[in-house]
Amino acid sequence: VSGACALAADDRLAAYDFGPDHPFQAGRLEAGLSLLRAAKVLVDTDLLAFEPAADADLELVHDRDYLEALARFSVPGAAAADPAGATRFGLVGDNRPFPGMEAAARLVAGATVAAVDAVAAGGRSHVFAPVAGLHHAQRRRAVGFCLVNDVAVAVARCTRAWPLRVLYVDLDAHHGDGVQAAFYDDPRVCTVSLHETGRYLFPGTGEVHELGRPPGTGRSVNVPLEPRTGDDGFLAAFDAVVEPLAAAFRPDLLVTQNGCDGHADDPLSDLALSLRGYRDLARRLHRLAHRHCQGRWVATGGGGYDLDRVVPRAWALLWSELSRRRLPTRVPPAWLATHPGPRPSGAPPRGSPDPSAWLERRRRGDGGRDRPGAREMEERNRRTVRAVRRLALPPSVRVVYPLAGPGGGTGRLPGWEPRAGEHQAPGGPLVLRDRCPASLLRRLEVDPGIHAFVRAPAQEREVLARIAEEPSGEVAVAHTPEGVVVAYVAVLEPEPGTRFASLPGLLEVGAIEVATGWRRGGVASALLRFAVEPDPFEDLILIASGLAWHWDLDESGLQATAYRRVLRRVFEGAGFEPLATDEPEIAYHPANLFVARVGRRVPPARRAAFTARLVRGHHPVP
Amino acid sequence: VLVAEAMTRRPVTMAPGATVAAARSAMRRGRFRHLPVVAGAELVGVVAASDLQAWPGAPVEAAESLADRPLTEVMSADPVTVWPDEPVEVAARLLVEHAIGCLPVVADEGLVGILTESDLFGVLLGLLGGGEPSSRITLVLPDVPGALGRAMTVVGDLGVNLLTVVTEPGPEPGTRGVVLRAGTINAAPVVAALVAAGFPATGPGRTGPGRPDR
Repeated sequence: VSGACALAADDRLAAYDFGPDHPFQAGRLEAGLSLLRAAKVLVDTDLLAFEPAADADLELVHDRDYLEALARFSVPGAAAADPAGATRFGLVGDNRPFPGMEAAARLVAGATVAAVDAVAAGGRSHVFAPVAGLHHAQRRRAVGFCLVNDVAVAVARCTRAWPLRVLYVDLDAHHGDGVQAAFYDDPRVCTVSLHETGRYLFPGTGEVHELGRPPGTGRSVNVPLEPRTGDDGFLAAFDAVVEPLAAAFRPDLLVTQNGCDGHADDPLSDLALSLRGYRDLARRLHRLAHRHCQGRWVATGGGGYDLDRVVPRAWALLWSELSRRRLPTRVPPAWLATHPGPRPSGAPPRGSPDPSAWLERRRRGDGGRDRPGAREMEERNRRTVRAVRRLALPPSVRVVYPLAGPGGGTGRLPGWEPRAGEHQAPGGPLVLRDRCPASLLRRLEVDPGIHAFVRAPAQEREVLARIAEEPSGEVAVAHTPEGVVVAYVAVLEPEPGTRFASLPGLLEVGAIEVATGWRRGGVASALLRFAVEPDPFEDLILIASGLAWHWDLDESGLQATAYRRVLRRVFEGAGFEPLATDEPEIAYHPANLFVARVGRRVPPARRAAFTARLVRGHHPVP
Repeated sequence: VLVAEAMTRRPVTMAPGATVAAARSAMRRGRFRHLPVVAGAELVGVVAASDLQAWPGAPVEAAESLADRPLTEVMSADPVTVWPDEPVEVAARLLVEHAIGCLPVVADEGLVGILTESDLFGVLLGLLGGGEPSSRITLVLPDVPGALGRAMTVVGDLGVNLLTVVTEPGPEPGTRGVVLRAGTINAAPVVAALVAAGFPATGPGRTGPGRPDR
C-alpha cells in the first residue's frame, strides 16, 4: 500500500444541494474545501479523479425502478405533478427533489466508489470523501437527505471485485441503518454504528440486539448512546467496542462515516460532542487502520449541519489527521473573513468564544457528574457497552481489551504447582501444561493454525501471555516437543456486569482453541480435562458459553448444530453439563451452548444461588 | 386491526398422542413457545413451552423424565379461543384477563391460526411507527374537539409526512398526550413550530431535551 493520501471531492459536488433553507446544502462543500485550501493542507495533486457512478454499481444496492424515479423527478415540476409517486420513493420533505438531483447523487456515489477503489487497489492508502456517507438511503427509498447509499454501493462493488473483508465504522449521530441493511446477512462486511439512541432520534433503529442475519449474524454491531453523552462517554464507548471488534474481525479495509452532527452546536442531535472529541476519534481511526486494516482507510464526511463553524473545522481536523499534514496554529484569518460564524438566527456557539481557535476550550465542570441526569446517563451507556461487548466480542478478545473498572475479584484461584502431561495426537505427541506463566508463553511459538482473532502468531502469543497475567487468569496449553503451541484453554473471571459475574467462586472458560491442522484428534477434550483436573477446581463453579456466530464454521466445515454437538461432547468429557438458561445472549440463537461444572466441594447454598440465576424470565426456555 | 390480520397462520400443531420430546424439539427448531394440540380438525388443547419443563431452569437432563409422556398429560385442555374477525384489542384483553400467552384462533371450519403475545407486539410496533425511519415527538393537547387537527396542520404545513399518530390520556385532567412518528431527520423545526403554536412538545434536536420518558 502506497503512502499517498487523496481527497475525493471537487466543485461538481456542489450540485448535491437541497436548497438554501435546507440543512444539507452546497455551502457545506464550499466552506470545507476553502478552509482546507486556506490552511494550506490541500494541494491540487491530492484530488482524486472520479466520474458519476454507473448503473451496474448503483444496482448492487438500489432497485432499478428507484433509480428511474430519481431521474424522473429530477425534472423541474415532476414531483408537483405526481406527489404520491414522489412520496412512495421518499422524495418528499427532507429529500424534496431538486433539478439535477439524479446526476448529483451519481456523482456522490462515484466519488466514494473511486475512493474505495483507490484504497483497495493500493494506489492510495487513505482517502477522504467529504460529500459522501449518505448512510440512510434504502434499496428503493430516499431517507434522511440520502438519495443514494454511496457507501453501500462502493463497499458492495469492492467486496465483489476483491476478496476483502470490510469494517465499516459509523460515527454519525444517527444510526447507519441503510448501510447496515445492505450488508445485514453478509459475513464479509462488519458494520458498527455508534449513535444517539433511536428512542427519540431519527431513524429510530440501531438497538443493541440488531445483530445481523445468518450467515452474517454478529457482523452488525450497534452502540446506542444517551443524549448528552459528550466526548468522554463517546470515546469510552468507542474504545470498549471498536478496536476489539477490529481485532476479532480481522478486516482488510476500514471504511468510516465521520458525520459530525453529534456536535453540541449541531441542530439535529443531542450527543453534545466537541471538535476535540472528533479530533480524538480521527486519531483513533487512523491508528486502527494501521493496526488492524493494513493501513487501508476510506473516510466519508457523513452528516453535520452546523455549516459555518463545526463542519469545516471537523473536516479539516479529519483531513489533517489522515494526511498527516499539520494545521496552522490558528484558523486562517482570510477564511474567517469570508466565513464569519453562526448566522444570527442560530443559537450562540457553546464552544470557544475565539473564532480563530480550531478546538473549543476545555471547560471545567461541563459534562460533569453534578449535572442532573448525568449519573443515570452514564450508567445506561455503561450497560449498553457491556451488552454490546458480550454479544459482539469473543471472550478471549474481551480479555485482551478489558473494560476499565474494578472486576469482581471473587474467583481468584489458589496456587498449585504447575503440572505437565502428555497426549498422543494423530499429528504427533503433545506436552500438556497448566499454570503457564506469561514468561513461558512468550518463549513458546504459536502454530499459525491458531488464529481465532489476530493475524499473526506472535500477536496470539501475546494475547495468551496477557490472559495469564490477569489475577484470576489461567492458561493451559498443548505444545509439541519443539515448543509450538497447538491448543490452549483460558480460564478467567466473567466480564463485570454480565449475569454470573458477581457470584463468588465462579470462573469462566473464556476460550478454547485448537490449531486447524490439529483438530479432530481429541486434543481439545484431552486439554480441557487436564486443565480442570487440579483439586482447587472442586471449590469452584466453572461456566462456559458458546455463541454460534463466534464459531469458526468456515474452517471446520460444520453446521452450527453439529459444531454445538462436538463442543458439548468436549465439555461433557471434562465434567461440564449443558444447562438451559434465558440469559439473553445465550437464548438469542438455538445453537448457542451454555455449560457449567460445579466442583464437588461447592456448598449447596452457592450452587442454589447459581441455579437461581439461570432463568429469570417468566417463560422458561424449553 | 383484526385478529385474522395479526395472527400466525398455519401454526405447527401436534396430535394428542405426540410426545413431550417431539413438542420440545419442534419448539426449539421453529423458535416458538406455543403449540395447539388438534385431533383431526378439532382443537383439543394448547401446550406452552413452560408445560414441557420439569421445573423452571431445570437442566436438560432433568427434563428427560417427561420426554415420553403424551401431550394430553401436560397440555391446557379446553383453552380460551378467539374468532378471526374480532378486533385485536378484544384478544389483548382476553390474554390479560386470563394471564395467558396465546389464543388459538378458531373459525367455523376449525383452527385457522394462533395469536400470541409476539404477534401483538408486532401490532403495537406498527401502531407506534417503530418500523420506518422517523423521529419521535411527543406533545400535550387540550382535550377539546379540533385540537389534534390544528396541531397536525402545523406539522403538515412544514411539508413533513406523519407516519403514525397515537393519542393517550394526558398528564393532567383535560389533556391528551400525543406521540408522533414524523418522517424527517430534522425534527427541531417541527418541535419549534408546535411550541410556537401553543402545543407543548418535546423531541430530539436542539430545541428538545430528547430525554427518555419520565
